Amino acid sequence: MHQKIINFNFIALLMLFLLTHFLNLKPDTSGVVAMIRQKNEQGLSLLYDAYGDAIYGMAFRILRKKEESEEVVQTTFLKAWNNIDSFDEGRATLFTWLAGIAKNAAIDTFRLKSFQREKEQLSFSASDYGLNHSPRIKGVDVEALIKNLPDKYKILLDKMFLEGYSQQEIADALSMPLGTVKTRLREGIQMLRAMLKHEKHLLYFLTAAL
Amino acid sequence: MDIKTYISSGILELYATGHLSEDEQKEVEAILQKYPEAKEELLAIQKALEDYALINAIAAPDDLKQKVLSSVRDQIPAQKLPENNNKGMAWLNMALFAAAISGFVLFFVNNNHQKNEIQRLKSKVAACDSIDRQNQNLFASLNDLRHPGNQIVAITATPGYANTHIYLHTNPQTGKNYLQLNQLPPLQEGQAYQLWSLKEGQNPIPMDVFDGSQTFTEVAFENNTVNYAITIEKAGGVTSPTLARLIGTFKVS
Repeated sequence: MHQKIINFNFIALLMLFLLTHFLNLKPDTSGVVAMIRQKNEQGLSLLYDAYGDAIYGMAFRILRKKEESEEVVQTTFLKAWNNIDSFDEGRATLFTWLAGIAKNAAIDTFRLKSFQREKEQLSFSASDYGLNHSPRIKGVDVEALIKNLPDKYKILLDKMFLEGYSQQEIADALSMPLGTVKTRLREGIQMLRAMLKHEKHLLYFLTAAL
Repeated sequence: MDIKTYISSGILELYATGHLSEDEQKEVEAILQKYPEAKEELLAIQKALEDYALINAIAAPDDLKQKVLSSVRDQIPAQKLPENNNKGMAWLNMALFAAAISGFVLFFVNNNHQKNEIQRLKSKVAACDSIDRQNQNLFASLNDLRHPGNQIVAITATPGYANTHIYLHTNPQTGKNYLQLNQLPPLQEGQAYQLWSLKEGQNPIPMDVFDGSQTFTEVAFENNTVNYAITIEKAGGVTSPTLARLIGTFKVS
């Protein structure tokens, strides 16, 4: 009888264990950070799955070359792996921290390859890239969102956030006072937030209706 | 300081996109410590930027992930990294699962086997008990037969049944009688042997009825019996003997 009870407990524990493993629940970023701190390669694998394409997208926007962009992605994840202790949740989300590393790595590479950045690149708009977007936000209508965001904001978000141009460079290129760059960046992000909120609400109601 | 004005100045957006000098960053971080609403706003900005970057993601070459993982693998000691963590866990899971299932099956098979074994042994014990009881009865009989007052009386067969060999072991001190049936005349369908006690001036007293299948059997004892007699009667016995089928008599006093 005693032996039987032990067996059933064991089975129950095992089932629970298997369930949590096989469901493959997406861990929140604190779990990923903890895994990387423990030097568990699985953590890096998860981090790459979540952000690899986004980081590659940022690198490619700056460098325009496949090989160099790949190098930047490798450098970025390697740095994240080695310097995870310098990540401070109070200051940045895991992604913005990673994006900062990527941007610096890409700009360093860019400076090595071509001494000066060419101003005409600033005239690039998102639709000209001719690249396959790999949207990672489920249920969000990416095309509509990008189309509906006015170009004046899109340029600021792309150049200042994704491509790492300085505030001064933007101000010079667009012949705009520094203060205007700052307020327009805020307006752009505010509009983006409103749009994402709307899209996510829509998604919520759609899934709730199902 | 009016925190709302501070937030709407756009400085948090510059902070989030990495456009502040180190000194400016420290100032912002001091504000974030002091004002939870500023921190909340910053988090919302960072989330929106993350979504924007995800929207603008570009599918990286398929082998890039492996390159990233192996570049990390190259610089850390091998024992820290299982070859493929995920696969390893899956195998471990499957192995544990298989072990549990087979353990479970083994347990029940074993359990059933043991149940059968217990049944088998129980019936053996019952058989032993019955043998033990038989032995005790035999010992008791043997003790009766060894008793000093024991007499063995051979049957005086009547002429028609001359081939009959029966011994009566009788003991007036213990009041016990045993019949040793060495050779009996054959019975017909529906017949049995019956023992009688004969006393001076009395009708025969009907006693045990038996079929002769046991070669040694205890029968009743009757005080003051002069002769015991055996007749062949209908199965179940009768109250007065059929003298025509008298096999023989034992003279006991």
